[in-house]
Amino acid sequence: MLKNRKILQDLILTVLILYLAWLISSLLLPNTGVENNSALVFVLAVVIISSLTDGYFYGITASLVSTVLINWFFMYPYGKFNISLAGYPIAIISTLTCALVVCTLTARTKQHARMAEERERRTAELYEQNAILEKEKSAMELSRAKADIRSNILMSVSHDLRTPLTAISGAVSVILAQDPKEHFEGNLELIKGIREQSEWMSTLVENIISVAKLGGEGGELKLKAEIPDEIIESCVIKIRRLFPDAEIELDLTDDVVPVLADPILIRQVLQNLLENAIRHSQSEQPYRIMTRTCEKGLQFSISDHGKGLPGALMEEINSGTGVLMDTITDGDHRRGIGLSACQSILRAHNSRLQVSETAGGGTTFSFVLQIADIDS
Amino acid sequence: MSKHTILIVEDDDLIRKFMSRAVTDAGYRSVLAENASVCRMLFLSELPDLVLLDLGLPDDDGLNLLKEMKSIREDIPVIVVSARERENEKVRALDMGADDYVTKPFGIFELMARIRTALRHSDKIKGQPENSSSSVFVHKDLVMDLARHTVKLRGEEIHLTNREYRILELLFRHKGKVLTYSWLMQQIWGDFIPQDNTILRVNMTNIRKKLHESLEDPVYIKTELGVGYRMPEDED
Repeated sequence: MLKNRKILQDLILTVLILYLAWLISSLLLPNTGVENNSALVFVLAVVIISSLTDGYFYGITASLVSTVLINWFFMYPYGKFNISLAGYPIAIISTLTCALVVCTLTARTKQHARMAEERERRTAELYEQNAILEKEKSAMELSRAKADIRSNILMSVSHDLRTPLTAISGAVSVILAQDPKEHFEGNLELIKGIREQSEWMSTLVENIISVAKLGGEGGELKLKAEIPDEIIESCVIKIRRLFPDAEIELDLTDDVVPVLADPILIRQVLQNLLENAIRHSQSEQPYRIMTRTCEKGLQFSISDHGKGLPGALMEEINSGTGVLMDTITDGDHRRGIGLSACQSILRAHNSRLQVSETAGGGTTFSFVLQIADIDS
Repeated sequence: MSKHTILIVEDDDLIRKFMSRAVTDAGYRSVLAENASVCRMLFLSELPDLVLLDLGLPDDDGLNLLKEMKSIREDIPVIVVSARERENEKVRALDMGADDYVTKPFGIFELMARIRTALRHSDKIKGQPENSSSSVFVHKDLVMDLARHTVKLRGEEIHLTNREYRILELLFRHKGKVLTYSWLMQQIWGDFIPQDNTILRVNMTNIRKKLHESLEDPVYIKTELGVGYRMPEDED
């Protein structure tokens, strides 16, 4: 369709320009006589035609037609063909050559333009593909990092589960094998041990569920406006049940500042940090939970006045790069996934765990949650 | 008063056994069901006074069971036992009329306290004629007088906004029970429920500040994280 139209257009153009050349030559002829410039006018016409049309066809046709027209109308004897004229073959050859040269040049220019266009398109395509590849590459790297973290967590978890399970099943076997009346006191101790071990396992499983929730198919967490005081209340009550003797001090903002959070997961973070402090820091003074508004949101901090953390570990936590495994240990050689679970949870909240020294000694963990807008 | 009968619906053998032991040691009669079909049968034949319902049953959705039991006996107290992985189910169960919940793993003291509260609640409702709504509520040092429209803490009047007043009234009226966010919002805003529950929760926080509630040991309004609020029974 488009091609036909182009052919028609070229044809009309050729005829029109030739007619124009004939018209101009006819006007010139009475004034100049034999020494007329019609040949030059027709050469000009052929050049124009050749440059405006596609391919060689129109140019060559126009040049042949021109020579015939020149011979017939504008060369003596007018109105007759005279091939024997001395200049005639030269006129034919020169117009033809003109047509050929101009057509070739035009074609080449057009081809160049087309090639340049093509090159541009290819570059754009290449660029696009490159961008896609980059994206895929970073996604792969991310998933590899995630897989690393997950396998590390799995390793640590199975170790952590096996220890209390061994203790529980061992203790139970001992109790069952003995005469309960004779060994009542000893059994009581074993049973208390069983309870302690199962509580430890329960915390561990909570952390596993939290981490699983983050890596779940659902993808992004749905963060909602939550009241920090409620999360802290819930955490403190839970800790009280596990550690009835722990002294916990609260220092919270006076205003109600809703934050964007998954409440259960943030409670888990607070609980892990408090549990770590209570179990490992050997802090003498009360543990403290504090909230303060800051530039980026609401800062939560949990501090103890215990023995502090080794510098290397603090650096690892602050850089946020390390997979916090095997780092915090206590006398039972338990490892725990508490800190790494905290980091994963906070990362899903666009936040990160920071650690510093408490004034006067001890450790302070902190993180910032974004403040939620509320329409009252 | 005769022994209360408690129907325990739980598919795990060991958990069912230890719950049954704890319940009988506390002086109740226990009836055990390991799946939904046995539960349906026992619910009709044993006329339990309370149901402990695990939501993850092998043969049917615990929520269906809850709906059926509540449609047969609206006043039957049901305590839902849920796992942490099923947080949403717990809230749905409460919205569907469950009276309380415990999350696995739960301590036996916690479970027994919930059972006592739920039973006391249902006995009280049964013992009272429908319209005997007294106009003065008392909880610890807090007194709410509906006739005079006043709230007093240790004899001193506390100024609440209208909405805060209505929230506190709802908590008093359903003392001991967990009130979910969506239920509270329905009660207060009716058809014009706001999109999210932040406003309710800011109101709640303000009430608690006015009551000088301590976060470490709240006595008037307790937060049930991710679920709602509860005014604790006098006992716990």
